[in-house]
Amino acid sequence: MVLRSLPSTVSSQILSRIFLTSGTLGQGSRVLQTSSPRVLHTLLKPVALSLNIPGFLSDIWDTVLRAVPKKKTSHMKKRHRQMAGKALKDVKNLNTCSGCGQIKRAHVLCTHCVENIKKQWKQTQTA
Amino acid sequence: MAGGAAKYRHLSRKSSHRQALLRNLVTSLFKHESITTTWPKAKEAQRLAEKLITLGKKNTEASRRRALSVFYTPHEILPKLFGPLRERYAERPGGYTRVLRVEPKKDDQAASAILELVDGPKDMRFAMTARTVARQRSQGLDTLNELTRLNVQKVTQFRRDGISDLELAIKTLEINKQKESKSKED
Repeated sequence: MVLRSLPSTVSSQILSRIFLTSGTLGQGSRVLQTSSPRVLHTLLKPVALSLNIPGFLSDIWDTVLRAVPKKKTSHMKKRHRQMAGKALKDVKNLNTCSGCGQIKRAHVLCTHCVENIKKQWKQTQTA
Repeated sequence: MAGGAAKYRHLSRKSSHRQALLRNLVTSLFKHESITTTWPKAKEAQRLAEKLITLGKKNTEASRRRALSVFYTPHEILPKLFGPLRERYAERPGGYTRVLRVEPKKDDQAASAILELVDGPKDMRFAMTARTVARQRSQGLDTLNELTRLNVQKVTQFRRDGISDLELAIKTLEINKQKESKSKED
């Protein structure tokens, strides 16, 4: 019991300080000190909520809390931002095809030659 | 991949799906001698195809049964595998198939490749080498460069009548070119 009562008294002291600074109900704290911790908890909740808001929020209301975009980001702006640094890269690994002399990608067969060869195979198959 | 190096490509499929895909690819490969697919699929199908040709070269009852269980149309392909293909690759110590990169075929621009049976009627490297040599001769260059010489060796060394086959292919190319130039003149 001693262990339990100790934190309850501490918390009620803190609470009473809040009550005093906010300028309401000096009597309420005295009543709460005598009551059991569970009752204290249920009693306090709504009161504390209603008290906190006007005190410090009003000071920052004009500065931090109003720092919100004025306009929706346009489609163009959004796409530009998200596609930044994702542009297509230049193909630099090019050389000439040894079979036809056209330009092709290195380590990849020339499309022109492959097409021609396949066409020839088809002709020889049908013939 | 999580859990260490993968021993094979999973190809974004569960085991049964992947197995079916590879069986399909290999069946098509042995039917048509050459298939075009994405590069990773070609590499995976290549592994299976090489193993199947090894089975064909073994030519025992057990190997016949194992090959039978892979193909979807075994009665078409088994006689080919244990007949002409076995004879074609009798001398070759592995490396019966070849994967060549080509420009992407699929609309998602996935890397594509040709998977082909080496020394077959649809040997793309053989045809390309023939074209290269034909072009160099038409330009009056008698000595081939290092890479072309290597390719000629690769294409002819285990092929029956390899060099004469290549010469024939080169000659037909030259004849075709002459025909084309004549039709253009007319």
